[in-house]
Amino acid sequence: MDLQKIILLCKNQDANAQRHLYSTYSGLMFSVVKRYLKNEEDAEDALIESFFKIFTKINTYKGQGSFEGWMRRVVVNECLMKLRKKRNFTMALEEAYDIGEAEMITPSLAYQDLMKVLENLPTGYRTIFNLYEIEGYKHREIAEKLGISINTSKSQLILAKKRIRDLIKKKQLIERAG
Amino acid sequence: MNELKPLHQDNTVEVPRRVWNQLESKLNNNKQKKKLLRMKVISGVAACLIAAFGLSYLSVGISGDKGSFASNGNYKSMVFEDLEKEESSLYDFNQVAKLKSVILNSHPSFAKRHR
Repeated sequence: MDLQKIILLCKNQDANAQRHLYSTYSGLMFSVVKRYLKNEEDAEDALIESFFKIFTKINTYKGQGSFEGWMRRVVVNECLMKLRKKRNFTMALEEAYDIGEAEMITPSLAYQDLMKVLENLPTGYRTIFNLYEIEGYKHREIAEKLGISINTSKSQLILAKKRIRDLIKKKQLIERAG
Repeated sequence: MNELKPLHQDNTVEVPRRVWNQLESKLNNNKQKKKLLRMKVISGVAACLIAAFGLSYLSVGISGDKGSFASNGNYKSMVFEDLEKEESSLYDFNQVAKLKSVILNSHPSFAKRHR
């Protein structure tokens, strides 16, 4: 079925269209959720809440930009909300101006490997890394979303990249030893 | 431009079936709530309309009665009934006096007692 038609039907709260949209995008959106939330239960809750918002607020989508992008933003916002509610979402707020730009994480890193590495990152690092490196948000947008300064966002990203690099090295050493 | 973005943006993860079931029940609950809210709004509006109609009907009735007060035949007969009795011959002073003299003349003993 045509996506525009599905969107139109979803705007009229058509249950079949909602199911169709969910079955098309749930896997993709769940992968987004899982990059932010380690806990399976939290991830499922966030996905349910995200799709609930997508279906109930679909009338606010005016067709500007891709629908997938709009859904992704809803999902990311929901994940950030969930993280903010958690007590342990305390970001290391130390500024790191003196830290040089970290090397780029190798893009050849497989998805599953990256997921494993991300799982081992502190929540703050993981969130900023996800927002900047994968979702493509700018530091200004990240700062606005998380209520931090632009410099904090930049320094957190550098620290996150350093940590990822260390984790990858450690992993490679373990594999060589094995 | 980010190099990781295109590589990791389109990955999918299998979603457990229970997620859809929970989402579906949440959507159904929401629909029920909306329906209930709509019913409440409709019934509230209907109640307001009935109340407004009732009040306007009563106020029109009262003002209508005021207008027809003087011209209401039944009401007039009720109010002026006593006056009409007083105007009848039984309430005429001359008639009463004449009747009294007739009674006194015809029964002298009665006249003695009441003089």
